[in-house]
Amino acid sequence: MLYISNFMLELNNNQTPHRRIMEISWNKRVLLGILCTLIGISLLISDLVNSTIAYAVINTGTIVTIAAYKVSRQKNATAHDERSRAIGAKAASYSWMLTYFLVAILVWLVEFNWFNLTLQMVLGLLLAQMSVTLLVYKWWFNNHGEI
Amino acid sequence: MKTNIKTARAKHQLTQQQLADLVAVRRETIVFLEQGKYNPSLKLAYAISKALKTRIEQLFVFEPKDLPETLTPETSNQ
Repeated sequence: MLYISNFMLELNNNQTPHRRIMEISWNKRVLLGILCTLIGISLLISDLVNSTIAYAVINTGTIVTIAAYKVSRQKNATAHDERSRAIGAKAASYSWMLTYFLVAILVWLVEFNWFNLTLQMVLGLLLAQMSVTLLVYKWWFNNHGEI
Repeated sequence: MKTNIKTARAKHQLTQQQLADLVAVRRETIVFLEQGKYNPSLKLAYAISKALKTRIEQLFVFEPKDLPETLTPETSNQ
């Protein structure tokens, strides 16, 4: 969740002022997330589609709602100044690189049958690794002046 | 890179937080700038120079080793 909201913030910060005017406000994104969640719930209740699809819509809506709400609360000039943005961008790219290496390792583990990995295990591992490494890198770069 | 932000800030009797608020950055950014550990953007450097009413080149002092080799002290002063 934190990872997604950080990424949403970085994407927003990297846009030009002209694009920022055109973008949807964060409050509208929260509403969009709530709407998505409600649609998912109604799909689940009405039994119109497969329950997996309904759960996916609910999950997407919940993630968008929470992430957009978090970003809308954080968004002010001093909380994300140029140094913080640079740290966020660098931490995200380092985290992405680590994820890439982790996926490469997992591919070899599966290929040689060294480890029995389920889909849930892989997804859980990636989710945890991405969130934790982003936070650790952000903390690390924040405590070191030069970026 | 060395900076004279601390001296200029003291001259204007501003705290780090007050300067940070003036130029819309976090206090930590000012701390690292004063220590010469962070290279600011031109926009931030200009904002700080305006806030402290001091020329940019007086606030940020680059040593010859910080400059590209192609720029000798003679050419950089031109």
